[in-house]
Amino acid sequence: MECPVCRESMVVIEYRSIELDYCVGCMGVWFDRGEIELVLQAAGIPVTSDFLAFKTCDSKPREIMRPCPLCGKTMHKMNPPGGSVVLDQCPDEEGIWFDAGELSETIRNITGDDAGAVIQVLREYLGEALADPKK
Amino acid sequence: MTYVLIFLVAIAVLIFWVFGLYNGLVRLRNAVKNAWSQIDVQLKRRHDLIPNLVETVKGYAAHEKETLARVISARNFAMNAAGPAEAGRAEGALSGALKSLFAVSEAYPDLKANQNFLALQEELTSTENKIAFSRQAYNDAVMRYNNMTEVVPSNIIAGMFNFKASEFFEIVIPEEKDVPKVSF
Amino acid sequence: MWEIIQSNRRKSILLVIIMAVLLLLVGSVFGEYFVQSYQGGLILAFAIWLLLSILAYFQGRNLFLAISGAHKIQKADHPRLFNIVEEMKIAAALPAMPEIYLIDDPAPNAFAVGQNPEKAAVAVTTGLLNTLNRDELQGVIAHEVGHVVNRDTLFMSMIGVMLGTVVMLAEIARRTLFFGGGRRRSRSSSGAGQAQVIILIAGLALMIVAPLIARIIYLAASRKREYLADASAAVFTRYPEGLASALEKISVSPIRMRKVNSVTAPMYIINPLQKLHDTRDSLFSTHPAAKNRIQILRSMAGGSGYLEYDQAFRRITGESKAFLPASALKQPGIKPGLRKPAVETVIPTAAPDMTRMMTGAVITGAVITDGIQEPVTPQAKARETSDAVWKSKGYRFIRCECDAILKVPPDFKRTGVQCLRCNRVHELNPVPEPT
Repeated sequence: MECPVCRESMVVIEYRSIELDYCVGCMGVWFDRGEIELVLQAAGIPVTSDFLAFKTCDSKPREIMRPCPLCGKTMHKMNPPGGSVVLDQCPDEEGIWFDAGELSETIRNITGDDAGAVIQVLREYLGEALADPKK
Repeated sequence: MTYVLIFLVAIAVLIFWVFGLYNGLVRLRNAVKNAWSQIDVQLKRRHDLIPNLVETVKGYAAHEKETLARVISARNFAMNAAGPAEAGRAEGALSGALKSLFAVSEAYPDLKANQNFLALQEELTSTENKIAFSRQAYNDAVMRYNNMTEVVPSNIIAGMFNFKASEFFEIVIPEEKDVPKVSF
Repeated sequence: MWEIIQSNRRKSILLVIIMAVLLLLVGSVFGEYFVQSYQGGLILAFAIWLLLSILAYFQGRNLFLAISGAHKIQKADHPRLFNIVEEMKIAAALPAMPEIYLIDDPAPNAFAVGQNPEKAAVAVTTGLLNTLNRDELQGVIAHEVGHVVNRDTLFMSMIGVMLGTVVMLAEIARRTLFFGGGRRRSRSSSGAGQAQVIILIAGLALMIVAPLIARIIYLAASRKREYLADASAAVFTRYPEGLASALEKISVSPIRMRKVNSVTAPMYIINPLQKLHDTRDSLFSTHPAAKNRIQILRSMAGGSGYLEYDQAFRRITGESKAFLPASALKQPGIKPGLRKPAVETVIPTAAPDMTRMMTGAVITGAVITDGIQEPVTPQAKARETSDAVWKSKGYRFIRCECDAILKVPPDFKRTGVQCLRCNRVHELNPVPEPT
C-alpha cells in the first residue's frame, strides 16, 4: 500500500494481534475498517458508535484531497466531534487515514480525557511518538 | 525336426514365462521397499521433532517430568525398532505418549500460546497423518506382493529364489490406562 | 485408482471424438463459405485447434494462475496448508509435490491445474483459509488432488480448447453470414440459387447448434468429473464429512469472487458464478448442485470408499447406472474405514480482553482437532492468512525488540525502517536479486 501523503510504500506493524499500516516518511497511520475498534476494545472502552461513521466536513476543508491507499478513490474529509481535526476516510468505508498526531488528538477530543486509559493504551500499541506528538 | 522345433519353442516360452514371474515378484518387492522408505522418512521426521518439543514443553511445564520422560523413552525405543511389525508397536506407544503430553499441555495457557509449540504440534500431527496415509499405500503393496508369493504358480518361483512375505505395518495405540505401565 | 483413470480415459475419448467431429463440421462449413473450399476450412480449424492446444498444454497452467492473480507460497508462509497438501500428495500417491498458490480474495474457493501429476499446482483463496478448519481444508485439497490424479486438469483444458475453437469459428461465421454473407453468394450463378439458399440456411443452423452441443458436452464432462473428484477426496481423506462441510460453507458464502470469468469458473471447486440455492443440475451448469454433492458425501453410510460413494450417488441422484467402473468398486486390499470424527473443543473468549493481550497471549481461543491446535478466532486466522499472502508477495518480516512485528514491502526504498512503537531503526539488508 502507498502512503496517501508521500506516495511511499507503507510498512505494516503488528503488535499483540492488532495490525496497522504506517508510513516511515510522515508517520501517518492507516486503520482498516474495524481495526481501530479492536484497539479501543482492548483498552476496555465501549465502542458505542461506529468509528467510521463520523460526519463529513460541512465547511470546505483546507487540506488537499488524497486517494484511498486501498481502493484509490478520493477520500472524504471528515470531522470527528469535539475538535477541529480533519481526517481522511475511504468513500467505501474501508478505513481511515490519520496524519501524525491526529489519532491521539481525536481520541482525546472524543473521550475528553487527557491522560486517561485510552492514551495509555495507544501509547502501548502505537508508541510514544504517535500517541503524543508534542513530546 | 518339427518336434525338436516345437520342443525348443516350448522351452523358450517356459523360460520367458518364468522370467516374467520372477520380474513381477521383483517389481512388487521393490514397490514394498519403496513404500516402506516413504514411511521411514516420516518416522525419522517425527523422531527428529520430538527433542525440540520436549525442550519447548520443559520451559513451561517442568513439573510434567514423568510425561516427558515417557515421550523420550518411547522415542528412543521407536528409533531402534527393526522391521515394520515392531516399528508399528513402538510408534503406537510413541503416539500414545505424545497424546498424553498434548493433553497435559492443556493446563498451561502460556505454553499453548507459544508459537514454537504450536508449530511443533502442527508438524507432529501432520507427520502422524502422513504416516497414516503412507501406511495405506505400504500395506496395499505388501498385500499385492504377499499374494503373489502365495498363489500358484508364482509361489514356486518365490520359493526357489527366496522371496519372503513382507510384514504389514499397523500402528497400535495403547489404551490410555495402559500407557503408564510402559517400561522399556 | 488405475481403473478409474482408464474408464475416465475411455469416456474422454468418446467426448473428444464428438467434439472433433463438431470442430471439423464447423471448420468445413466455415471454409465453404469463406474460401470456397471445405478442405481449406478443415485445415484452418485444425491449425487453430493445434495452436491453442499446444499453448494450453505448455502454458495453460501458468496462464491460468496468472489470470487468477495467484502467488506461489512456500512451506514457511503457511505451514498448515503446506502440510495438508503433502498429506494428500501421499494419500493420492502423486509422484511430486504440487506447487501451492494463494489468491488474495475473500471468497472461499480453490482450483487445481497442471497437465500431468508431476507438474500440478493447487490454488486456494485467502477466504478459503479463513473460513475452513483443518479437516475441511483437507477435504478441499483432496478434491483438487483428485482432479489431478484423475487427469481432469489436462482433459478439461484440452476439451475446453476444442470448445473455444468451435465457438470462435461459429461466432465469426454467424456474424458474417447474418450481415452480408460470404463471398460465395456474389459469385454464384442464378441457376443454383435455391440450393444455395438451402445450404446457406443449413450452414447457419449448424453454426448456431454446434457451439451449443459442444458446450453441453463440455459441461456434462465437467459435472461428472466433479462427482468423481469428490469420491476421490473421500477415499484420500477417509473422512467424507470434511469435504461435505467445506462445500456447505463455500456454497453458502455470500462473498463473490473478484477475478473470475466464464472461462476460469469451471475450474473452481464450487462455481464462483453459479447462483446461490441452485439445487438442480441443469444442462448448462458447470458443477453439480452443491446440495447434491454434500448429500452424497453425507450418505456414505460410515464408509469412505468408491463403493460407498457409488451407492450414495445412486441413492441421491436416482440414477440406476453405476457411477464408477465395476473394477474400481471391487478393488481388493482397500478397506476404507471412516476416520474418527475430529473432536472440536472450542475455548471461547468473547473479545480480546486487556489482561490477555498485555500478557502476550495473542491467541484468544483455540480449536483442538485430534490434537491439532489452530487459531479459531476469526482475527487470529485472518492474520495467519494475510501473513501468508504478504510472505508470498515478498514482504520481509522483522521482529522488533519491543515485540512488534514489522512487515516491510518488497518495494520499500529506504535502507532502514523505523519501528512505529519504539522508534528503533532496523537496518535492511539489500534485497537479494531474484535469480
